[in-house]
Amino acid sequence: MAVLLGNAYLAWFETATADTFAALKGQGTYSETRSQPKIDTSDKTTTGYSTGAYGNTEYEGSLDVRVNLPDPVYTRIETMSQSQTPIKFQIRKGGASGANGDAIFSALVNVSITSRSFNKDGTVDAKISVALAAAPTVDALA
Amino acid sequence: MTIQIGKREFATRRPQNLDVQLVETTGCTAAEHVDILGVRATPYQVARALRPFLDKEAPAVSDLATLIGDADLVQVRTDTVALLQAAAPAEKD
Repeated sequence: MAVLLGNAYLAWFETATADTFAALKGQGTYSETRSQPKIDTSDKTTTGYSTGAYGNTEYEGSLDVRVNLPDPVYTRIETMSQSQTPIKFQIRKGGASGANGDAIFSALVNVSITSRSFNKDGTVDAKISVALAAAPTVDALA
Repeated sequence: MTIQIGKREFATRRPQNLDVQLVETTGCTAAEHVDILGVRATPYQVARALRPFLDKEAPAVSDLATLIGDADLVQVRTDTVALLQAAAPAEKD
């Protein structure tokens, strides 16, 4: 194995054709946060040490986009965001040639366009947030 | 068939390539619009779904959305869903 490079991973969304995915144009950084609340399982008798466990993972993804239209994927995300309809989402390795088998993360998600910047002397940038609508079906980094 | 939006009435026709047109403007197919409009519908969403059914001379989507916003949204939405259902090919899945 080698050191993984972020540029090799792209976000893909299901298109209007069922089970067919396309990569969003103009992608920048995709970052995800995973927080698992800590559960304290200790009491006075646990011999001087607190013990703990972790609860459900709260997943949130955030994708920076330099908007590049026409792009049916961006337009679809906009529609889904406004209508609060879930959409299938994958992160695939292999860049633009990533296939279904290259998915390192796959889930039904709700999307929200959380910010748009119309920059002076710059591009139009958007941020897309991703929240799970169901538990992911693939979640293993490779 | 016609559709009434406020005081105005528009002739409707069945577009040849409805899904192609809708995917181009909204990223979603007619069947998906039926689902979307069934749950939550803004005047703009209804206007985008309705536009392919209207003649070229009819108002553009943004003007149509304004008209729908001033009219009875629920009624226009119901009529639009009926048009979509009549024209949509078999539903997804």
